[in-house]
Formats: sequence, C-alpha cells, structure tokens
Amino acid sequence: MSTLALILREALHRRLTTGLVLLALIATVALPVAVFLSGQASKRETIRLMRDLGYNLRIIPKETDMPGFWARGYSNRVLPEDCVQRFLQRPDLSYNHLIAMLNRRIDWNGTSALVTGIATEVAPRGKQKPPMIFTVDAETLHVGHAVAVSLSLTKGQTVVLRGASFRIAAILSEKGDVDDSRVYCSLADAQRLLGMREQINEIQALECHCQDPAIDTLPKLRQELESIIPEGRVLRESDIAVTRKRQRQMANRQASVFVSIVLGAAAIWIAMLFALNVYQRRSEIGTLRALGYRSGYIGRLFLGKAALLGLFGAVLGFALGTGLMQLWGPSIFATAPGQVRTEWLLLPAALVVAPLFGMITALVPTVAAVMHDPAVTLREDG
Amino acid sequence: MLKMHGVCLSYGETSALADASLVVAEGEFVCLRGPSGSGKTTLLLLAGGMLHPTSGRVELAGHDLYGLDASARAELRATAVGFVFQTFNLVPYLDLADNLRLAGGGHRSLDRAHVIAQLERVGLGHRATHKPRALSAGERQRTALLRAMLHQPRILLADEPTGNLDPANATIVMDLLSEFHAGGGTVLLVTHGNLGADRADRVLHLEEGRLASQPSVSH
Repeated sequence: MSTLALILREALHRRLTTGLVLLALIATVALPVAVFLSGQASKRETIRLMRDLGYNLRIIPKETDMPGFWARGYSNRVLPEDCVQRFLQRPDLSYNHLIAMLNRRIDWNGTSALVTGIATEVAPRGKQKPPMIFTVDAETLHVGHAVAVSLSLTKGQTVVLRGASFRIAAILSEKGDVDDSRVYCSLADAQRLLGMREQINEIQALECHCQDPAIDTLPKLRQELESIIPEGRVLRESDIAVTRKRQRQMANRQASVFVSIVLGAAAIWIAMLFALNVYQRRSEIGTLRALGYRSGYIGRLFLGKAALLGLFGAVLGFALGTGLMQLWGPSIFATAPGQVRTEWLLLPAALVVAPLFGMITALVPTVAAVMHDPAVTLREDG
Repeated sequence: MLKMHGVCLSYGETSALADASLVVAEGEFVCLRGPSGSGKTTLLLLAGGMLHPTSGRVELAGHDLYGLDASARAELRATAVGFVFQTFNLVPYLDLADNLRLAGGGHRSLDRAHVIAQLERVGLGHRATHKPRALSAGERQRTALLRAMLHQPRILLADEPTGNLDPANATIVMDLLSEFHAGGGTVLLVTHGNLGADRADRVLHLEEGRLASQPSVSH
C-alpha cells in the first residue's frame, strides 16, 4: 500500500483537522497573493497618480539666469531641439518620459499667455511606457482655464494667434497654478509662432529610480546629464520625488508587516493542528512501529500530508486570493478598476512555497511523532 | 528463538521488570501469566524490540536485539515478529483488507486479492471493505491476528488477545494461535486469565516484575 494512499485515507478520515490545516494553508497562500496583487495594483495606481503630479525633473540650458527663471517660470536661453534625441540611445539612464518644450510668455489680445509648445514624449531604449502628458495636434490649442475665461474662448472655436489660425481642442480645467495661464500647442507650432525654429528651452522628465530617501540621487542625475547634454542643467522638484519614494516604501512596509503576521499566525495554527494530529495518531504510530515500519516512514506520513495539503492550499489559495482581489479590487481602486491583474507566475511559486511552508511548520510535531516511544501508547492501550 | 538474560527495566526508582531471564525455543508455545500491572506487557514489548531494557540482553532469532540499530530492529520486527494487542490496534481509516496490507512493515507488497483470500479463511471475506468500527470485537481481533501472521513471522507476541472478547470469540482467537503454533510458529502469549494456559507448552508466572516458571503443561 503506497504512502500517498495512506496519507489520503487518513486526511479524509480526519476531515476536521485536515480541513483546518487546509484552511490555514489556503490563507497562507491567499492572503499574500491578495496582498501582492493589491500591491501591484496599488503600485500601478500610484504610478498613475504620481504621473498626474507631473514630471519631477526639469532640464534647462546651463547658462540660464536662475532668479529670472524662477520669476518667469521658464529659461530665457535655448537648447537645440535634437538634444532630446541623445537620451534615446542610452538605456542605463535615470531619466524617462522625456518631453521637449518651448515656453514663452506672450500678449494675446491683452491677456498674458504662456505659450508652451510640447513635442511627443520619448523614452530611452527599453523604457517605453504610456506617455504622462496629452499630445497636442498641429494647428490646435489646449487653453488654460484663466486664459479661456479672460478671452471667452470655447472648445471647438477657431482663433487667430499671431497671424496663425488654430482650433481650440480643449479648455483645461482650473488647476490653481501657472498652468491656468498656459496655452499648449505642438512644439513645431510654438517654434513657428515664436520664431524659434528647432529650438527648445526645457526638457521635462521623470526620475525613474526611486531609491532609499537617505541617498541623494541628484549628483548622479547631474553626472548623467553632463555626459549627454553638457550645455544643460537638471533641476529636481524634490517634493514630488520624495512623495513618490515615501509612498512606495510605506506601501511595501505595510504589505510585509501584514504578510508576516498572517504567515506567523498560520504557522502556529498548522503546527498546533499537526501536534493534535500526532496526539490523535499515537496508537497508529505505535502499531506501525510494532509492524516494523521505520522512523522515516512515520515522518513521511506527516510531512507528506503537510506537503500534499500544501499543494491543495496553493491552488485553492491562489484562486481565492486572485478571485477576491478581482472581486474587491475595483472598489478598492475605484479610479482604475482594471488595475488588478491575475499574476499567473504566482501559481507555480505557491506550488513550491506552500508545501515547503506546510512541511516546515509540521516539522516539530513530526519529530515528536518520530521520537514518540510507541511502547508508551501500546502499554496504555493494554 | 527468544532469549532474555537478566533483563531489567526501571523508571527512576520504580522497577517494571526485575532480572527477567527467559528462553523460548523455536516452535514453542509459552504462556506468560500474571496480574494486571505485573510487567507482562513490558516483557512482551522488550521481547519485540519496542522498549530498551535498563540492563540485560535480549536475543531474538539469533540477533542481539538491542545491539542492533533502530532500523535493523524495525526490519527484524517486520520479518520475524508478529504483534497482537488486546485493543486490536487496527488503523481506523483503512478497511480490513488494507489493514492487512500493512503487515510486514512495507517490506513486501501485499496484493489486495491475496489478503481478501486470507480474510475468507477466517470467515471475514465479506467484511473486507468494512472499516474496523463496523466490526465486532471478535472480528477485529481475528483481523489483527491475521495481520500479525500474514507475513509469516517466526514468533507471535500476543498481549492479552482475548481480553476484550466473549468466550466464543476468545476460543476462535486461541484456535488461530494454536493453528499458527501447529504450523511451526513460536508463540509467547501474555494473559492474566486462564485462557490459553491449556494450549501452551509451558506456563510462566510474572508478579511484581519478577518471573517464575511453572511446570510445563503436557498435551
């Protein structure tokens, strides 16, 4: 009679104990799976939300008069438009989501408007991701709220700006900052309007390595930039970068504490149930010993049961954890319901980890079963 | 077949067995009698390699039992020894056929059809698929005895095998023991009653951990 058959029969015979162990193993898998999936969804959602906060790096010409830059909000010096292309061949950079811009403040029928020409966002090789900012088609404008109110502009209206005709593609919602005075157009249109062909005065970017907040990455960013655009300098909006780092680190800490608590509780639970199982089976252990079965065989009965239940727990726990997150995810991540995704790679991982976890937690009771003096039970029975 | 020389077993100050010496020859049927708590089960477990003596030497089938490592001792039990207990000790989640298939410590694979045929031999063929809890005490003990004999051990160590049985079932069990003995097997039967003494070649008496022989019973 095979060991597996014996394990299965015993597991089915003691359904309550088996069920409780299985429940603990399901929880052991389901909760980390759910936490992982929610963590991944949270990460994606955070990235999206953080992206909404905007770029955190500004690359401007090195010779910029900085007091004037902060007063105007843009550099009065320029860079060649093609300098942004230099980033694209360097996959090892800390820069991503690069967008070339040209900014100049103009007077538009008595209203001060900040013309911002934006190019299509580009990314270094191997780092392509969905763009963080809208694109503006040629001969169209996206008008900031304050400008639109001041000039009574409406979406779809055709306007003339410095002799060129534009269709208003969007009126931007009120943001309460300088963006309300912006008029976005394509970079080519801005260069033509402002007479600054093939020139830009800023590249905005996102720092893509969020490291330990104790490490200041600015020197590294500057060193990288020096090798690419020696005529440029980089400014980092530290509030956005720090917020991004802290949020991710907090989420990771929270998940690891939660998972540790669950695993610890499940380990104690399983160990206690296996101890109970050993106690219930004292007579059986004594009988098997009397029949000539060795310690290794007794050990295999318990560890094999733990491993087998671990396999079932892995499959059911994966299904439960994934199912619950698919069910509840949309209400947790209301802004992006599609963010919770099934991670199929977790299943083979669970199929390895859960049986190991079961066997490790059942180890002490198994050793107790192997060390148990069968004569004690057999004498008690007699 | 079985030799015990000056075997003692103590638990701290308490002596469970004191200086027990015993020789059971191959093919002999020995009945060991004594009141409850006299050390009979202890002696039987020592004889079967299930308990380490505090001192003394136990030889079984030519082996110094406690000179062997645990693995070799288990193998000897699996091949040469059959244990029968008062409480039957059948595995509750296996049916009778599978309980029998546990015989021999897994050293040989026992075919289910073969064990069912053996059950039929003792009138339990129709019970082959039943779990022990569905059986009467007599049926359980017959199954336990069959399990102890199935791998053709050289010695049967029976601990009060009729203790929980009515007279009719006790007789059936004793008949099976006698049958094993008649086939050349060695039997060491432990009992606190009279049953079995009349079938034994020799009756020994154990009281307060001390062994004393009684005259052989002639048949």
